[in-house]
This record gives sequence, structure tokens and C-alpha cells, in this order.
Amino acid sequence: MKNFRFFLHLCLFLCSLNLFLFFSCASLPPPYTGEGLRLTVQEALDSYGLPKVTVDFPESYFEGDQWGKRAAELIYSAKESIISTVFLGSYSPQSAIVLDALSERAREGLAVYLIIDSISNLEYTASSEQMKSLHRMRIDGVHLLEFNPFTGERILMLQNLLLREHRKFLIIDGTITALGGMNYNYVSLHDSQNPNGQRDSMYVFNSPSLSQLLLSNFIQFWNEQSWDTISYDMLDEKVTAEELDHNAWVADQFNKNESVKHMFNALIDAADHEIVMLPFLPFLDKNMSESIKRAIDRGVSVKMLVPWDMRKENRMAVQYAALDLLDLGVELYREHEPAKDYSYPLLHEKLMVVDYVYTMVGSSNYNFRSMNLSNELSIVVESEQLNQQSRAHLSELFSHSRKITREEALTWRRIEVLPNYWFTFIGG
Amino acid sequence: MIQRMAKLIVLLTVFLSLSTSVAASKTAGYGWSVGGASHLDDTTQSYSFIGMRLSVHPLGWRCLDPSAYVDINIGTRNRSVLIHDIQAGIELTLLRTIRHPFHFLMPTNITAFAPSISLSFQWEGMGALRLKFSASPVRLAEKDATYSWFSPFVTVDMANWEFVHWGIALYQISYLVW
Repeated sequence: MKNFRFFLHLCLFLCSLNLFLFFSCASLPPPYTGEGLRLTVQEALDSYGLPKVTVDFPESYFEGDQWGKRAAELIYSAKESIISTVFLGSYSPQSAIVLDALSERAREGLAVYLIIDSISNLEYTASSEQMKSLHRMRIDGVHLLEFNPFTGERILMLQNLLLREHRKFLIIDGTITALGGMNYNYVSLHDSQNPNGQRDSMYVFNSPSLSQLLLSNFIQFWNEQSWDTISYDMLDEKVTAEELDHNAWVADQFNKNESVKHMFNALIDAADHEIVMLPFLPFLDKNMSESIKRAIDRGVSVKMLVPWDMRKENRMAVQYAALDLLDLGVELYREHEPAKDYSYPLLHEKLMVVDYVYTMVGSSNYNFRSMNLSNELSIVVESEQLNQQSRAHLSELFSHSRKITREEALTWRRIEVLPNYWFTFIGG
Repeated sequence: MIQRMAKLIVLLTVFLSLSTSVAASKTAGYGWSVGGASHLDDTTQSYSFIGMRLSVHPLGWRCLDPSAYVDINIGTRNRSVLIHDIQAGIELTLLRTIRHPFHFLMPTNITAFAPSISLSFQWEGMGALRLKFSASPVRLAEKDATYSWFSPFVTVDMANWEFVHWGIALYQISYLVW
């Protein structure tokens, strides 16, 4: 019995210590701005060592079903290899167009590698009523990896279970890369006007340098996870030489390399005029809040738009966080409440424009989880044209929203929402 | 002495289990096991145990891959719970292959069949020092974990070289986290 008491006390002590260390380490890197020092966005991104590539002007997709068709086209156009990673992957009538294409190309002998996060099996969106496992794709020759499986055998890995694979990308023949926020599941590839669908974005870059960088990272990551290893011969260094129209910086955050954290920090600290973003679930830790505060104190306008999330639990958690954002000086907008008999398809998009040249797209939300507990992929493109296109898109979204006042945010700050807020803070 | 060592192992194992890990650069970790053993002289009661393990896997060879470990086994006997023994030893993974018939045991991702044999010193609280031989014929490996089912073992008293226990570790898990 004495040993049991010792063990119990030890567990409690170590749990507390571990949680303390975990949260105290979850910090943005120190700002690069020293006394009187101001860097440009370029210099700031370079100062964090974020890999620089060149890209063309991307194709943009904001409709799930349209992206599904384009993804299938890209997959059928592949001649050598198809590499993809998504957070949520499951078979459904909507995702079949992409998944069947992957299976067909694998049957034809192409190298097809797909990573999905294990949480795909626990999805609680409308997908959960439609989805079927992707494991049957292995029969067709697809190399499938379920990241960090939620299995009984691994349950004692405890805190490791919080780490999730949240990247969404598709690489064709090591030359074309699509990235953004869409998964291969029922809701992502559904008609984005349908209440069961999602509003999101994917961007297709015909960029060998970007594709080779991501492919190299993918091979490293895959080989660390699977015995079914990939040869680095799949890389082709010759194709990276061509310079394209726009500079871009890449944050491929895996193995806890914190590159997305660096990217956000660089952009926010270097902004001169305006930051407009779709953060999705804006749960900021102390250091993220300080980063935003520094920008606002410099006179930078920071605007955020959050969705009207039909999932009440998430909506209430975002409402709880609203006061913190307003107190930082953020201009916070939310989509109008839908009419009584209408449901919004969820606005799942992640987008940030900085001043009038830079646009950040990818999988990363602006929140604690994306900075600390997820693999993420985001890219900053230096392009006035893309910035203008993104601003026009944001204007359209903001036109269907209204500004949140401090008074109403105060009414949302209720103690009974706190557990909900904390659950979404960590899990969202 | 044995109590202090046991507490240290428990402390390290629990702390490691609460630490985040990523798949890269995995050469050390912790593990758990559950099993039972019986005395061969029929005068001492059988016991069941829950074991905790700290291990290092420095090489990662495909064949004859050695690793070292320290185990602490918390046993139950006569409805009392006690730290039964501490072990320190080496495990030799005989081979590793993804072509095997046991994928049905862990169908989520591709696993490698990695049977092993182990040799360790075992200290019991009474000060007896024994050698323990064990085998894990059904052992599957992921890149950051291994799982063994029904691993038999025997212990030998080093004073007179007689068999003392036989037993089976019903299930063993080892995670590589560092």
C-alpha cells in the first residue's frame, strides 16, 4: 500500500510538473526586433531561416467539389509519383473522386503515398455519417500511413496523442504542389454551398522548387514513421533550377520544428499597415497575444473574421475568446447569424494578408494548437496580384459579417463556457 | 537500495510517459508489461506483475540489433502489492522484416516482425541475484514502438544454477520517445 501511495503522489507531481513545463515552453520565439530595429517582411522571414522558393501565380479553389475535380485531374496527369497528406481522410461519395483516382493510379503502377491523421476515424462533422476507412486503398497499391494512431497499444503514449498531422497537400511528379485547408472527406469535398459542406481554399502552384522541398521533407517524415521506406531517388534536383515570378517562403512544420510559429511571428512583427486574417479558431497563447499587441501598438490595423460555426460548442468557445482579442485592439468580425432555417457551410479557410504584397495560405490556423501541437504547412507569397485577389475575397467575406463589440463579448464571457473553451483551446 | 532504485525507475518511467515525442531520432524510451510467474519448487506462491521499463536502442540494425533495459516489476501476491524485482539486461532483436503473417494483430500501419531474446540480471528484495532468460517470439515493431505477446521466461539462481521461476509476459509494450 505504501508503494501505491508513493506511486500516486509521484504521478500527481509529475503530471503537474509536466503540464507546467509543457505550457511554459509553448512560446513564440523572441521577436527579432531589437532596440529601434525594424526589418522588412523579407528580412524577417529570412532571419528565421524559412526556406525560400519561387512560385508562379497559383490557381485558387474555394469550392470543395471544384477542388475535388481539379485534384482528380492532377492525379490522372501524374507520370511518376503522387504524394499527399491530409488531416482527415475518409471514403464518401464526395471524396471518392480523389480517392478512387489515387487507387486507380496506384493500380497502374505509379508511386502513390498518402498520409492521413488517425483522428480521421474519430471525426465528428457531418462526415461521420458518411465515411468509410481508407485502409482498403492498400489493396490497390497505395502506400498509406495513419499518423500517430489512436490504438489501444499506443494509448499509454499519453501526451504524444495530442500531436496531430494537420497538413493538407498534394504533390504531382515533384513539380506541382497544391496546398491549403481541404481534406479528403465528405465535408471538405462537398459542394461548398451545401450546409453539409465547408468553405475553404486550396492553391495550386506549378513550382518545382516548392515541390522538391516539400517532397524532400515528406520522404524524411515518411521514413521516420514507416518501415515501407521511400528512396530519396524520387527527388530530382535538376528541376529546381528554374526561377519563377514570385518569391515565397515555406513553413513545413513537422517534428516540432516551429516553422509556422516563426512565419506568423515574422509577418506580424514586420507588418507596416494592415493585417487581415481568417484565423478559424483564434485561441491565442500569451506570446501570440504579445505579437499581435506589438503590431497594434505600432499602429498596424489587425482585422480578424471568424465564422458563425454551426457547432454550438465551438461557437461558444470562440465567443469566450472574443474579449481577449478585443482587449488587444483587434477588430473582430463574425459572420451574420444565419436565418432560422438555414445552416452555414463552415468557413474553414485560413488566410492572412499583410500590407499590400504578402499573402499567407496553408493549413495553419492562428491558434495555440497550430503553433504547438500540429504539423502544419503554410506558405507566404510575395505577390501584389495574389494579395489583391485575397483582399477581394476577404472583402466579400467581411461584407457578410459584423463587428463584435466589447459589450457583447463581455456577455459571452461566462464561467460555464470555460471548460468548453479549454477543450477547444487544446483540441481545436 | 532496491527500494530507491525502484522509485527512481518509476519516476523516470512516468515522467517519460508524460513527455511529448516525435517520431524522429528515437533511441530511448519506456515500456510497460503485464504477466505472471510461478516458482518451480511449488513452495512459494505464484505472482502476477506489472512491469515498467526504461530502454535504449542505440543502433537500429536490421538483424541482431541489441538494446539495453532496466525493468521494475510490481507484483501482487497474497493480495498485497509489492515491488517484486528489478532487472537490468540486454535484448537482442534477431531480425526485422515487414513480410510476416501477423499483420492482423496490428492492422493500422505496416509493422515489422521483430522476434527477440533477452538476458538480464534480476534482483529480488531478499538480495537474491538471478539470471533471467526470455524470448519474445511474437513481437511486432513500429518505428517508435514494439509490442510483444506471450513472451516466456525462466530465471536461474546464480548461487546454485537451478531454475527458480518460469513465467510468461502476456503483453509488453515499449515506446521509443527520445
